Amino acid sequence: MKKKSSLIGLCFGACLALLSCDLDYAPENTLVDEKVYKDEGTAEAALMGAYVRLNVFLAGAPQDQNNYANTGYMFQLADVGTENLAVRNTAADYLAVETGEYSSAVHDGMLYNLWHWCYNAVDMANNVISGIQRFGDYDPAMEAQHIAEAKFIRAYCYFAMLCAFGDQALLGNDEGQGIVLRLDPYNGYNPEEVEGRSTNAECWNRIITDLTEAIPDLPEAVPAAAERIRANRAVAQALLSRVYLYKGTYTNNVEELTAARDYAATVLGVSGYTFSTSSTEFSTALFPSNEYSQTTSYPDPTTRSGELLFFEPSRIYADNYPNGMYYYEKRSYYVPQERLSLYDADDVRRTYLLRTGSRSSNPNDSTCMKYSGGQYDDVIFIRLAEVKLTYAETLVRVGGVVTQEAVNQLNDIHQRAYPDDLKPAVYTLADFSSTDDFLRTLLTERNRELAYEGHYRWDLMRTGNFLGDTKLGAVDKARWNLPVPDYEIRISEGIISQNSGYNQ
Amino acid sequence: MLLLWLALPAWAQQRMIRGRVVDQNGQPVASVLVNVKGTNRAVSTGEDGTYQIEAKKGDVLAFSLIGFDKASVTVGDRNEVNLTMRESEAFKMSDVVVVGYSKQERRDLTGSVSSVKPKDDIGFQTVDQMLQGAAPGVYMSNSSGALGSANVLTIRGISSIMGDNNPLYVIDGVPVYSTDRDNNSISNSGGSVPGASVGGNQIGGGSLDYNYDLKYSFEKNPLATLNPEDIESIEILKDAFATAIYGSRGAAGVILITTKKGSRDKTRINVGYTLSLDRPLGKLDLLNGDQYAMVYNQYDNTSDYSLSTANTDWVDAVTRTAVSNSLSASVSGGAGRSTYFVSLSYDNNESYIINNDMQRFSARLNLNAELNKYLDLGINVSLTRLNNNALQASEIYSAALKKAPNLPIYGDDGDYYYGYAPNPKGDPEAYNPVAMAYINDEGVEDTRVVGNGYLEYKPADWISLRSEVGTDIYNTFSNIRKGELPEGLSGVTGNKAQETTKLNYKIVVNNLINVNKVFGDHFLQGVLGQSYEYTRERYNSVAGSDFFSPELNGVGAAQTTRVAGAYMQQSALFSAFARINYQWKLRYMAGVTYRLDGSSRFNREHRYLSTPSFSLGWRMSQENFIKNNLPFVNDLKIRGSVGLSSKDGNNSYYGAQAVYELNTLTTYGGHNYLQMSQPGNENLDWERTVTYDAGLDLAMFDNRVKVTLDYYYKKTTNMLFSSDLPLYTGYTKENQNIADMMNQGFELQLVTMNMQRPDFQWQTILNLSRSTNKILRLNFEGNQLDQANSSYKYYAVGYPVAQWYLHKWAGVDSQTGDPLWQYADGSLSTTPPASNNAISQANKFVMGTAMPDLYGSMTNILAYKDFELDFMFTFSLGSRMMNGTRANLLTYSQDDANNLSSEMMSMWQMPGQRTDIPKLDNKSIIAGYDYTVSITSDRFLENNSYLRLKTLTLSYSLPQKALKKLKVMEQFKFFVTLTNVFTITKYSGLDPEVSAFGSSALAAGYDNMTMPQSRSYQFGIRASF
Repeated sequence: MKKKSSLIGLCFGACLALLSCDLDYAPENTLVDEKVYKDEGTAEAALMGAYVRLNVFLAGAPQDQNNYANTGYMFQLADVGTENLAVRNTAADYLAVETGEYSSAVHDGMLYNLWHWCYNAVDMANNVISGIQRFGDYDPAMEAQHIAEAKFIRAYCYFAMLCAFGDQALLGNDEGQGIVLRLDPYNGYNPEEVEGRSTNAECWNRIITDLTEAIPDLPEAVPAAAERIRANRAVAQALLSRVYLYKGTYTNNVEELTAARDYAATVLGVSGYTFSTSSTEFSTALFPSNEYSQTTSYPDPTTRSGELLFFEPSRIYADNYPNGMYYYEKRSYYVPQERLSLYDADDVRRTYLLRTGSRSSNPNDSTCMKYSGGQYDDVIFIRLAEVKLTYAETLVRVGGVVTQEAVNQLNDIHQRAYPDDLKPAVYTLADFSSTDDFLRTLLTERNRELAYEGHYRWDLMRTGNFLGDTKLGAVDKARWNLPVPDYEIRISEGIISQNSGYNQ
Repeated sequence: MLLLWLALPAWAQQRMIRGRVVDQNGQPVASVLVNVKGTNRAVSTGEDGTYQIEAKKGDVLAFSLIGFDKASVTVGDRNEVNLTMRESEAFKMSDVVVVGYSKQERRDLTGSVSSVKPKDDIGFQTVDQMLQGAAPGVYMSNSSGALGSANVLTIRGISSIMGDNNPLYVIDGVPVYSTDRDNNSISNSGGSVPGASVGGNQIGGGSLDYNYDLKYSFEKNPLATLNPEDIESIEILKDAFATAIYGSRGAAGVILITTKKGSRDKTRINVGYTLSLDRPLGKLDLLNGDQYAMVYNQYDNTSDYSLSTANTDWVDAVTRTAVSNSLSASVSGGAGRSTYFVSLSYDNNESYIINNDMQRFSARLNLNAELNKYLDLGINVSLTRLNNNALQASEIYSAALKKAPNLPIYGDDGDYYYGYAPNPKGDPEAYNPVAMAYINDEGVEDTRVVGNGYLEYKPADWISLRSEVGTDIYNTFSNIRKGELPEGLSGVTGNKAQETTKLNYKIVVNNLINVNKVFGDHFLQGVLGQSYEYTRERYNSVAGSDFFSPELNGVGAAQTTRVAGAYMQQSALFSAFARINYQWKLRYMAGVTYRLDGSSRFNREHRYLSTPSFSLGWRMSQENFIKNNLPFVNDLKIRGSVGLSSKDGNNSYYGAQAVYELNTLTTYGGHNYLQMSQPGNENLDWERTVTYDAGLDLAMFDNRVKVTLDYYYKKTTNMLFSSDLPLYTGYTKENQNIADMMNQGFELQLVTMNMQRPDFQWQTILNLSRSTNKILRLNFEGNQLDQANSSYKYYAVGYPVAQWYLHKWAGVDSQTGDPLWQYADGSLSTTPPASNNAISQANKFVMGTAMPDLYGSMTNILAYKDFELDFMFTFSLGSRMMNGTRANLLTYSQDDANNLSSEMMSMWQMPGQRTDIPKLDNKSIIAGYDYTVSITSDRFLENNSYLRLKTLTLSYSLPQKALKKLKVMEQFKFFVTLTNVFTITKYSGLDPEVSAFGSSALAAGYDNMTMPQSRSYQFGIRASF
């Protein structure tokens, strides 16, 4: 009996031992955080995923390879609602931006999408940052670089959002409501813990902090032009220069403008980037035609300009994905005939870039051939021309006088736009009677050069519509910003509140 | 002091009384409470039945023990008082019920448990069919006439939105592999899906034609691998007290299946044979070749559809009378101290669709051995092999309904006739339904082992320790081979194959301590245990196309091959549980159950769930006021329970973790990139269901009338729903524990013995269930307007789940022949609301659900001498069915020019004509979309309440006298059973029970050219030796 009892005991013991109680199972062929961020290869692939989402938000690229572009993206908003573009009556979303009157359909459509895609990119960046910090097990310098790139992506998203939605953030309203700042990955939602908007000042600080922290960890080397699709040190510095410029202009904050000037100068000093003075740069390298109708297939041009700092790669259909820019078909908006007069008759930016585009769709209207392929084009985010113009502008704003260096930078941009035999006279110091006189010329040139590349509206706003754009001027200042999507206000039960211009 | 003085004389007369208590068989009875009446002096009898107690002459000794009649003896002069106790009648009539991890007497139950004993004179294919109409609170509906396909079975309504609503099945203590739709569907697309199906090219606002879930998958019935003949009993656990012991998986009810065991008394051999003949329940009235040509010529304004080239009845061409055979044999008995049950069975079922059939081979061994007085061990194991070669039956059936009747089966050359020439239009996939049946080879082979082994140690007769290890090994191999088709047929998917292997493995370890202790008036029963369960699924699928010869079958022989999928996933559940039932004087009962579950499917923060439950019972019939005033009452018990349960399968395997996938289609400027297919969601928590139950069990008039009545209220909180998020999270919709829902209802079972004479008995069993459901909380908007689920169902606070939410069809304008639509403001218009996106949603109406309000069954059993006649009616009231079949057969605007219902002949043709069929070219056909045939309007929504004579059985057993003479046989029985004999319903389709979405309760209610059930005639023999 004793013996048997111990036998039984043994059996029970054996059964209990079977219970390893292991309840942590990782899936076999699904990648989860701890697998993705452990190794450099997969962590970098996740980072690339964050870049893709950034492109979705900024340039309307799909997340995948398909022919449908996302509606509502940030880039076009810089030109819609200004004299740069005329909006068709049927394009309710863009009409709303132009008039400052937003229907519920626009709230639930375009505005909803803009918020969604911004935070979708931010969340991927947050995942990369937190994932590498928690699970990263590779070269620490590379880990730091990946985190720095993710911070760059996050900063870029927040910066673009703040320009559009921060309550007069570009008009010096530091105490106004900015955007919701998310620094941790989404990990479930608790309705009791709805987050509100941070102030514009807090948002600016976050953007500046992210970029400042990122810069030392980013690589210094300048890759070949075709590879400039990721952030390196100069790219982050160029963006930070733009951030300081946008923040400091309206209040003429010398400290911030100085920072903008210095970062611009640093970038201009990097030897890897080359600024071509040839007017053919536009047609051969910056914006070569990728128009389908020219041949029986997309030309897929492979030459890229040496002045590129950061762009979205989409030109070669076979490898990449369409960005879905709407310019070519001119269905929602087009370049009005009057706008051609902004340029001199010989300016290549008019003769080469402002053309008919699609001949089957709206053949009587013009468009900008910076997006010539109908669907498949690179989208340039940052290039040297902008940095030069920023440098010139901040030199003058900080110093309070027009300097030869500033005039030189302006000339570089202005002169390049003309064919060799048709160059206009160079600007000299004597041409400018005041700093305002210079700034007016410079900002006009900035628009000529960078139109449809995501700048103009923000330039107008930060300067209080210094150039006197009639379309923007027709809208109340408090509505230069977009309204926060109603959905966000409803779901947060008012904790996220509307911009002051839309409260009546 | 005075008291002490008074007590002294009494003390002086006390003496020691000894004695022994035995039962009628002379066996000693332990634990009998012996009490000196009028004092608090009491002792219990020992193991040998003896006791000793101090008493004086004239004292009355009261003997009591649950299960025995009380007795009392007055102390006389003798010092020895022996007693024989009689077992009480109330105790004898009770029966044993299997509850989770132990057994109980039905009499002692305080939870809601229904028992079903299978009948041997109806041949069932699966155990779930056996449960139709068998117990109150169990809703079972046969979802189609396809062999081996899954059916709807829910217990007490809907318990989850995101997860499945199928109960947990436990076979001999082994919780078997999940029965939800996702787990049991196999793809039969053959490896590729035509591009048209992606994106949902919908006909006029809504159609299931391109629903991937429906068109390219077959949902197997996971219970088809269990031989129904092996089943001894089925217990259905319904309320929280009964299901709480299965804690995190009990919310949708638990079905416990116990298989037959041997008996030590004698060896018994059972042999059975059944022959079945099956015909489809009905046949749809379609156009013939000339009518077909006429309608299309009229619509297209041509005369291109030729008359009288052929006149094929495609439905007749693909259907037949199916002949099925079922053979089973079992041997049971005992040898020495062991008992055994061994069974073998073979079923060969034909589908009523040509060249489609299913075979099942199964074997079972249940073996128990008593090693010694203290130790038992045993194994229960079943092996099943199921070959289902009827996977494409449904597809062939619907293709036959749609095929143009003016086309022949065979061409002049004797080969299959493909294409739609000479008709100008036709199905671009050029199906020839007869060819499909013969040139395609689509089958699935299931191999399944369900079994357990146990060791039980009984140190005393009131306690047992048991360890058991169980397993469910469920391996599936499916082979889909699409035959070769002539070249040049557009849109046809032929000459390709897909082979899929799924290896599912589950192991369960249980350690249990069972206690059954009686002492005096107290009765304590309990179980304490722990359990560990591990599940692993492996999946491999390869596809190939472009076979060099139609004779080549395996994917390996294809010229182009690819891996369609391969993965492994695993999960585990760790549990500890306890249950205590206590009774006093057989009158007052109380129970407590507690289970703690830890599941690997949840994030560490939310991994464990505890599910307590409580119950109380009062057997009023033991009280004198009932005994005296209501002498006809034999037994009356009221009971109540409350408790918590959940369902862990509602969460996906790695629900809480962020999941990344490599984008294989494109790169980021030459760099591979990962997409996050699912963000992390550590908040995901258990759904929690609290159930309140109040019940009554009543037996009257010599137990000739038995009533069981239950009322329940079930509230599920924390229910998962894919709900809106603030945009700042970066996502728009994710699963959240956000919704609340309630179910309430009552269940009644009434069993009456109407006649009880020596050679004539008549028994009636009535089962009635009512269940209502309401969403209490859903998401922040309060409804889900987008109907973003595969079955277009609508969810809103204040309404039952899965509503029909449809546009309102207002008939045909008899003056113009144009269809009319009713808008939300009450106005009528010829413009279909679905044609304008901006106003479409605002003009939809809530129109009920596919689940019945009231359902049940009535069974009559009449026995006269050696004949027995059984018949069962089932009924269901208040549900609504979308007759997608009719919608399809009234669709003539599409290029596939399918055949049409003969209703088309009554289409509107002249002003004043009253008809439901509009004129051919009407205002609701816009840009080729015919909005009148959309399944998002109520034109095809019908009340499918029905009353059906489900089964009718007549059996004859050879008289015992005759058998005694033969001396070989103990029983010999013939029977004839008819199923689906007749149906009374307003539903215009063939079968009001079907559901295109298989086991899904939420997507139920679509008749989408679904195969109707069959009317079957079974002829069987059962013999015992």
